[in-house]
Amino acid sequence: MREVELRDVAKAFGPLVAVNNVSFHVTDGEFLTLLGPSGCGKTTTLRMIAGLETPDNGTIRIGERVVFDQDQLLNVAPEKRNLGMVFQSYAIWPHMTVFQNVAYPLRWRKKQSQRDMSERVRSVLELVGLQGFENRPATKLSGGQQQRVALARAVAFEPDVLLLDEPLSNLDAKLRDYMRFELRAMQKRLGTTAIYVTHDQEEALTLSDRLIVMNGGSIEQIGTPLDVYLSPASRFVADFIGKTNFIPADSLKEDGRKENVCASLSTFNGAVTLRAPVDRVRASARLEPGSTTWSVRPEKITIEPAESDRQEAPDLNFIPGRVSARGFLGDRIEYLVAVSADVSVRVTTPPAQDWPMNMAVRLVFSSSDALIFH
Amino acid sequence: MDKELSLQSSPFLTRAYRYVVTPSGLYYLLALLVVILTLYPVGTLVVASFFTGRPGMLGEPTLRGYQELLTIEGLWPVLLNSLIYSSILLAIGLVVALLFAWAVARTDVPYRGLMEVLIPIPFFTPDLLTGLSWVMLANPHNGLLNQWAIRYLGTEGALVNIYGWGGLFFHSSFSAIALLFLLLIGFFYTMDPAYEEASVLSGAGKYLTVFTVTLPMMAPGILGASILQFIRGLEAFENPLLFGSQAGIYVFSNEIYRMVNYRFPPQYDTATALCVFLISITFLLIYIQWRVIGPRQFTTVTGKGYRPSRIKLPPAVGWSIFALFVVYFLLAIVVPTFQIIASSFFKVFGIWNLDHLTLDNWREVLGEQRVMVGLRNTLVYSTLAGVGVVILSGLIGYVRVRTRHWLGRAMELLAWLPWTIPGIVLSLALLWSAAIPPPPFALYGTTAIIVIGFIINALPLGTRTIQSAIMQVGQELEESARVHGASWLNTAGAILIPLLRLGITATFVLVFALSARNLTIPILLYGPGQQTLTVAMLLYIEEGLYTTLSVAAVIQLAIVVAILVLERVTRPTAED
Repeated sequence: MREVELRDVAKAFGPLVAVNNVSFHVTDGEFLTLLGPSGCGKTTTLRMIAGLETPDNGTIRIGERVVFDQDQLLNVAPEKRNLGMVFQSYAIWPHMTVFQNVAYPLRWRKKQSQRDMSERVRSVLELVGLQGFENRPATKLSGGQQQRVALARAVAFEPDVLLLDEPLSNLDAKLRDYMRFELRAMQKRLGTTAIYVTHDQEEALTLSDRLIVMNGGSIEQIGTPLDVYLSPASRFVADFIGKTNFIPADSLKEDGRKENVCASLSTFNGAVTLRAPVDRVRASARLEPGSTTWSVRPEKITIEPAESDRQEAPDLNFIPGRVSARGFLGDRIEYLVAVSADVSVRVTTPPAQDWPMNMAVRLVFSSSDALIFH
Repeated sequence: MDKELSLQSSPFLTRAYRYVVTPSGLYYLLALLVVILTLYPVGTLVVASFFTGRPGMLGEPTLRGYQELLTIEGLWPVLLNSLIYSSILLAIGLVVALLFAWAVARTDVPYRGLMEVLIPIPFFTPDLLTGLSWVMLANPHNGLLNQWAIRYLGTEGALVNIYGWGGLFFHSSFSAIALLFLLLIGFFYTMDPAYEEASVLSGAGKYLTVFTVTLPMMAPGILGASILQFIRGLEAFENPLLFGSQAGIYVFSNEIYRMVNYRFPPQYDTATALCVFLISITFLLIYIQWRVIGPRQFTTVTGKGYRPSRIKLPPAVGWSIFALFVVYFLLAIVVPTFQIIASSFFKVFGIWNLDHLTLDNWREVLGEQRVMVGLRNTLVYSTLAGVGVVILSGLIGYVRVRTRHWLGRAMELLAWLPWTIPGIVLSLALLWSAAIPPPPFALYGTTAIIVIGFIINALPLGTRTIQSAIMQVGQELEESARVHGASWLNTAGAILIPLLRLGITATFVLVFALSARNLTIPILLYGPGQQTLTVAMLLYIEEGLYTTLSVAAVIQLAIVVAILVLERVTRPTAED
C-alpha cells in the first residue's frame, strides 16, 4: 500500500531535458536507490516525487493516491503528500531547537496533544541516538548530529514514504560508513518505503533492495545490486558501477560451438581469440556490426607467468602481456598489464601475488566473466 | 506553490485558473507594478521633452526644448561645467583615496586601524548637512570664519568665500575620497604580495614597485571605481546647489532645478530635454562600467586572503600622511558638526559668547510648525518607504532567487534601473508622470508621490540587500518545511521570515537612511505641509535663519547617527 509508481515522468529545464520519460515502481517497504553521475536526473526525479518540482508530463502515484497527473491537471502540494525527506544539506532550521525541528511535521500534520507530541519526539530522538538533545539549539550540533536530527524529523510522523537526497554526502568517511548501516537498519525496523538518491556506488550497493542506474535523464538499468554489478545492461552501467576494463577487439564471429561467440584481439605476441557465451553479448553489440568492446572487471582476471603450462580451454580466455605498472594498496595489488601498443588491462590481485615490473605474463579470465558491448 | 486542483469540468477554466490564480499570474501583477515604478516615470519624462506643456497638460508636440538647449539656453556651458566638476573631483578624490588606501593597507602608517574606520564616514554623512554647515562657516556675507577674521584679525571684507569652484571642490571632495577609499581598499588587501615581491627581487625597489606593479595591476578596479565616482559627480545635486548656484556655476542638476523652480513660467521643455541628455550620458557611462567590471557596483573584494608585508615608511612620511588624514577628517566631519551643534545653543549666530549660551533656539524651534512638521514628515515618509521597499523588493527577490520564472531576472534588472537615474531627473519625472493618470490615480501634489519617489530611489539597493539575504537562506530549509506538512504561507511565516529577520531589518534601515537624507525627491514634489526636514533646512538657509537651521540640522544629524548605529547593530553577522 505504501508503493510509489512513476509513469512516463518527464521534466525539462528550458532546453535541457533533465528527466526523460522515466517509469518505475517501488514496492511497499522496499529500499530503492536512484544512482547516477551528477546531472543524470536522479535528484530531479526525487524532487518530483516530493512535489518540489512539477513534471512536464506523466503520472506519479503514492500509495492509493495519484499525486500528479498532467492529463488531469492534478498536482498535490508537497505538504499534502505525507512524505518525510532528508535533504543533502540536512536543512535543519537554525532558528529552532532540536525539539522544535523534530516536532515540526507533527505540528502541521497530526493534531495531537502537547504531551503526545513530546512523547513522540522523545521516542524518535531515542531511535536516532539523540535522547536528551531536545533543548539544544540546532546550530550547536555537529554534522553527524544534524544528520540524525534530519532523519528523526523525516520519520517523526511515520510518513508513507521516506525520501533521502544524498544524506550521507556531507559526512566524513568514517561516519558515512557507520551511518550507512544505521540507516539501513532503521529503515527495516520502521518498515517504511525509502527512495534514496546518491552518486556513490558503494552506498547504493550496500543499502538498496533494488537500484536504478540513471544517465542523461533516462534509466539505464533496474535491478538488485548483485544483478547490476554482475550483469550490467549497458556499457555505461559497467563503467559506472565498480571498476572495469574495456578491451577493444574485432567484430564478432561464430565460434565453433553454437552457444559461444568469439572475436580476435591483436597483441604484442600476435592475435589471440577471445570467447564468450552468447548471452553475454549486449544488445548494442548484437545490433550493430563492427568492432566490439569487451568488459572484464579487474578482480575477475588472474595473472600467471607467460610460460605457464596451463592448457587452453574453451571457457577460458588468455591474453599475453607485460607488467607495465604496479601499485600496492594494502589489501590488494593493482597491476597495469600492457597487451598491445594502445591497450592496457587493469588487474587486481591479492597482495601475496607479487609480479615484478616488465615481466612477461599471461592474463586469464573465464569467458563468462566478459561482457560484450558495441 | 502548486494548488491542488482537479476541476475536470472545463479544461479552459482549469487552464485559466492555473494561469491567473497560480503564482505565475501574481508574478505578472508584481512585474506590472515594477514597470509602473521604474519605466513609466522616465518614459513619461522622455515623451514630455518633446512637448510644450507642463505637468498635467501635455501641450503641443515640439522640439523647442532641444532647440533652446542647443542655442539660447546653452547646453554647452552646462555640459562643460559638469565635465570639469566631475573630472577634477575625480582626480582629487583618486589621488587622496589611493594614498590613504595604500597607506592603510600596505604600510605601517600610524593609527591605520583608526584611519580605516574613520576615512569612509563622510560617505555616510549627508552632503547637505556638512554642506550647510560650511555655508554657515565660510559664506562671504556673514560666515563665521569671516566674522571672526574681521573681529580678531582686522581683515577687511571676506577672508574666505565658499561659493565658487574652490568651495565646490573643497566640500565635494570629502565624500568622493571616502567612497573611492571604500571601493579601492579591498584591492590593496587582496592583491597577492608575491607579485610585488617578485618585482622587488627583480631590483625595482619597494616604492618603484608601487608604480610599476601595484597600481597597474589594480587598473581595472581603479577604472571601475573611477567611472562610478564620475557618474556620482554628474548626478550630484546638493553640492552644486549650495556652492555653485550662488557663484553662477551651473551643472546639470542645479540647472534643471533652476529651470523648473526659479524661472517664470517654469521651462519644462528645456528642463526635460536636459534631463534626457543627462540620463543618456549616465546610461552610456554605466554601460561602459558594466563592460569593464561587470554589474556589481558596490561589491568591493572582501576577505583578506593574504597578509601582505607592510612597507616601512620613514617616520616623516608616515606622520605626514596621518596629518593629511587628520586635516581631512577635521574639515569633513568634526568642524562642520561641532559648528552646527554649537550654533544651535547660541542666541546670535556668530557670537560665541558664553553669556549668550541659551536653549531658546531649541524651545523656539520645537514650538515651530515648520521644523516639527518636517521632522514628522521625514520620519513618516521614510518609514513608509522602508516598509514599501522591504515588501516590494522582498517579493522581487523571492521570485528571482526561488523560481526559474523569466520575470524574476526581468524584475531584478528593472529594479536596478533607478540606479542610473539622477535624483533630480527622477523628481522631475515623477512630477510629470503623477499628473497624467485620471483620479483616483493622479498622485500629483499628494504625499504618496513623495513616498513613491523614495521607494523608487531606494529600490536598487533595497533589492540587492534583501536578495542576498534570501540567497543565504538555503532553499532546502523551505522545501523541508513544505515536504513535512507546512503550506506555503506557513513556511513563509515559520521559516523564511524568521530567518530573514536581519536581512529585512538591514534593508529597512538602509531605505530609511537613504530617504531621511534625501533632498532631491521632495524638493520638486513637496506641497504645503509636505516638506521634509531636508527641504526645511534648505528654506532656512535661503532665508538666512541660521540659528533655527542649526537646530534643525542637529535633529537631522541625530537621525543620521541613530540610523548608523542601528545599521551596525542589525548588520547580519557571519554566525547568522
